[in-house]
Amino acid sequence: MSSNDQAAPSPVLELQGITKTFGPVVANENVNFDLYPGEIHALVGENGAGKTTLMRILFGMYRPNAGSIRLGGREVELKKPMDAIEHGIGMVHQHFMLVPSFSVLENITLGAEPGAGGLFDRGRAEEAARGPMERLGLALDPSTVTGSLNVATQQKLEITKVLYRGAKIIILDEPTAVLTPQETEELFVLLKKLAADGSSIIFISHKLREVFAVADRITVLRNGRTVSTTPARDLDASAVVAAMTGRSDVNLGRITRNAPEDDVVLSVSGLSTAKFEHDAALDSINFEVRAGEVVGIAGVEGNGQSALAETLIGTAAPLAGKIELAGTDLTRLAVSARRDLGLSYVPEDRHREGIPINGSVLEGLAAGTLRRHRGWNGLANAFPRALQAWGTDMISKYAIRTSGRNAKCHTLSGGNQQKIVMARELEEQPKCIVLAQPTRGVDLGAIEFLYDRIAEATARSCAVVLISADLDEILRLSDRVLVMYRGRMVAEETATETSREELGMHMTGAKALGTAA
Amino acid sequence: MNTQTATAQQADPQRKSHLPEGDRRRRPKASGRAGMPLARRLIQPAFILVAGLIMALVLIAAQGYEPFSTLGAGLDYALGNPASIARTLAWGLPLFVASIGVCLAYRSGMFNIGAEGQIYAGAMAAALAGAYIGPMLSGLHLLLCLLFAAVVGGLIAAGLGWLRAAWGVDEVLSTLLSNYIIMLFCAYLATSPLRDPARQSGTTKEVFDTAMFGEIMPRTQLTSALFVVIVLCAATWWLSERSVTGYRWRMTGESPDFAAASGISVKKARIASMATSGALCGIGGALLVTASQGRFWTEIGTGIGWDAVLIALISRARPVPAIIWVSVYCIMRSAARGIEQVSTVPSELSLVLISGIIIAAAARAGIFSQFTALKQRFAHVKGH
Repeated sequence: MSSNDQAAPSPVLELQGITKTFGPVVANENVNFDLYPGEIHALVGENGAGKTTLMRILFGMYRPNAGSIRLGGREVELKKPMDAIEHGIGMVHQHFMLVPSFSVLENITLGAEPGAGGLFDRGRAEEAARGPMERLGLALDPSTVTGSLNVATQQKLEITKVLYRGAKIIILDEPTAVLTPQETEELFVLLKKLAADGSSIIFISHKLREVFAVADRITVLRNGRTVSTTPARDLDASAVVAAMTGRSDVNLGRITRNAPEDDVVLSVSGLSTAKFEHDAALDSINFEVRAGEVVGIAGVEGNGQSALAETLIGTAAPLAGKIELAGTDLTRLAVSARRDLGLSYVPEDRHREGIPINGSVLEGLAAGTLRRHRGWNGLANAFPRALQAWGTDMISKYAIRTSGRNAKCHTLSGGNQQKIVMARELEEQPKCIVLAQPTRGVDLGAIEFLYDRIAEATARSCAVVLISADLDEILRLSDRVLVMYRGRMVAEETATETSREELGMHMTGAKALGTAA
Repeated sequence: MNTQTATAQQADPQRKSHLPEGDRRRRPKASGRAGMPLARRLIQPAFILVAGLIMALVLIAAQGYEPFSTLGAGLDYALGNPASIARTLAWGLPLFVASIGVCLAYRSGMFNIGAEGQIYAGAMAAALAGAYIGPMLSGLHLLLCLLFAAVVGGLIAAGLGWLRAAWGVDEVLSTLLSNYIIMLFCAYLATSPLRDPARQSGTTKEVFDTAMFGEIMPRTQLTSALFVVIVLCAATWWLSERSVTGYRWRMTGESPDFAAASGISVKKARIASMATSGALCGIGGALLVTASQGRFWTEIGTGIGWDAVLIALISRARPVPAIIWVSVYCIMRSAARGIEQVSTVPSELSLVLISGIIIAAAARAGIFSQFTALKQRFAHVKGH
């Protein structure tokens, strides 16, 4: 099913010499991309490499400044998404475009409802939706309310929508970002099946493991240009990383760090909470973190990791249990008091909790400093010269790529936004830092930079709680790994002596052991 | 607006952050503090004003008058000489204070549409302090009146803010309904127990002369309250846009989860900003008494609380644009009165114009998306 030179089937899609500029910014420059029937073609690159722009051009959302789009050998002009849909191109966006209050059937047919005279023909709609749903193995009552479905099913629904519209070419933009490892595997099986049935798939990702698991060919973009297009079997991860980053020295292995010290910094005992809106309740959690130690918290999302992070920092209150930081009981203290005692926090939802998304870079950086003003100081100038200069220093110290300290946070890439969060939290010189999904949506170069900063923090005796859905991240950074399942700690492993497979078993609750206290 | 925002396909306006990652980082190095050069930022308000003027010309012509000279006469009445400028300004003094007050609460995410009620409460407090305490040294008496008004307005708003912070009672509802409770209670006081027996209508006793601001320009009604207004505007601007407290309130309004996670007490910020907002509205009400009417009567507010809410929305809760819009508003009202004097075009023209301008400005300020955000809060949708 991969591109086979001898048989030479003709490509269903050819993008040639695509150039797209936004004002002085060149997002795509002379990019070439092609797609064969039944092929899964991965498009990889760092944030800002131009993947999204290229796909938006293909989907008729942007008009290219130069270059041609050929579908089935014929040159076409895509002026709007409707043109692309009519040419059999479908896009599954990273953020779902579903109406939560609509039924499954209504969502599938939305925008192309069968019926006449403005009336919705339910029977015909069900008929038309059945085929695509069966192709995806989606055994659902079509009248189910979409909002009640889990994320993986909603994603299948997105793909169903695309198939219902008759798409032959399916674009998936970072489809695994919201899925658990098991759901990701299921999605891959599904994609391969769709490809075997003759659909062509463009798979956008920056997770190399996934790209190698699913793709026939890999095209790498860097700084808006095509670096290479190669069959996946001729490549290995380090070659793709080198192509993506333009550097050959990116470390993909374990981060070297000092050995942890003996004294306990963070001690959690018997911690329980009520049920969270999108997460399990904590059920008597016990663990300790020593100075300079990184404890990884692994688990499928929704098993209490968010609840743990929020209870530790104090944005959520526990029902029972105790949190101690270097001997001081934090359990009843407010967030600011906990932070004053030396607890730091990198929240998992960067846009909502990590940075003021519509505020400036300086406003994001200075939150720690500004927290300390008390009483009448609250009326003082928030950003005196000295603080502004400090902000500029932080931007250079943490290599934050921005037009300046007054730029709005939403103009920065994910990696640079995360550097703002890390700069703010680490500059407080915390005794303990809670990292929740610290590198989600961050590109490889920035990930390495952030890991080095974490290693530096442990070298000055900072205790680290690393909550992550990315097992590679946990294995690369942690000393010990704790696994959460349904709000409980079900296993403890030493990072260097365990494996992804073993942790995966714990994560599904298959091998529940007693908790390690 | 740049290309990306214009073409973004996101359904939810709040998720600006998910604009194409591909292009965000390498955006040109243009942005200053506000992201746009000043000239470009002024184009749209200017356009709105021009549209408003054209509308006025059409309306005047429709009444059979020569549009340009009539409008000219109106503007001359509003701004023709220092005395007319003073008269135009005098009417707007309470509105300046109330508008920046509403802005302040709005900045921390509290939609204080109880301004009208807080103005009435402030006016009542000042009228009582002016009539039942004293006479005494004028400056002291005025300070006392304003202080009473600020405390009463502030306590009312703080209470409503506390209901939101502690019990989740939506302040849109509670502040809206509080208007009726307060206005009707004040009407009861003015018509029954505290009525001035010397008068037929529902008014309280006239305040002592020491509780009245003196005119600073004869026969213009412009009083020394102007200086109080200037000081309050400047102080509020500093508090909201420059101070540490303002930072906390703004973060609470724009990114409440960020505020909570970084150790800002969201409850405290909401209650404190509501209290300050209510205090300013109360002072606005006090100025109605001490700088013009001299007593409380049942219709004293004439809806300036609602005007203040609208102006806060149009100016997106920024104090400086709010002050500019209040000025524009005063000029329009005054000009309409001038037009009424030289023609049979009724001064209600100003209401028509103001409504038109507000609709145009609302479209620009994205008020409709702000209301969508409000509605979402009612619906309690979390996540996507």
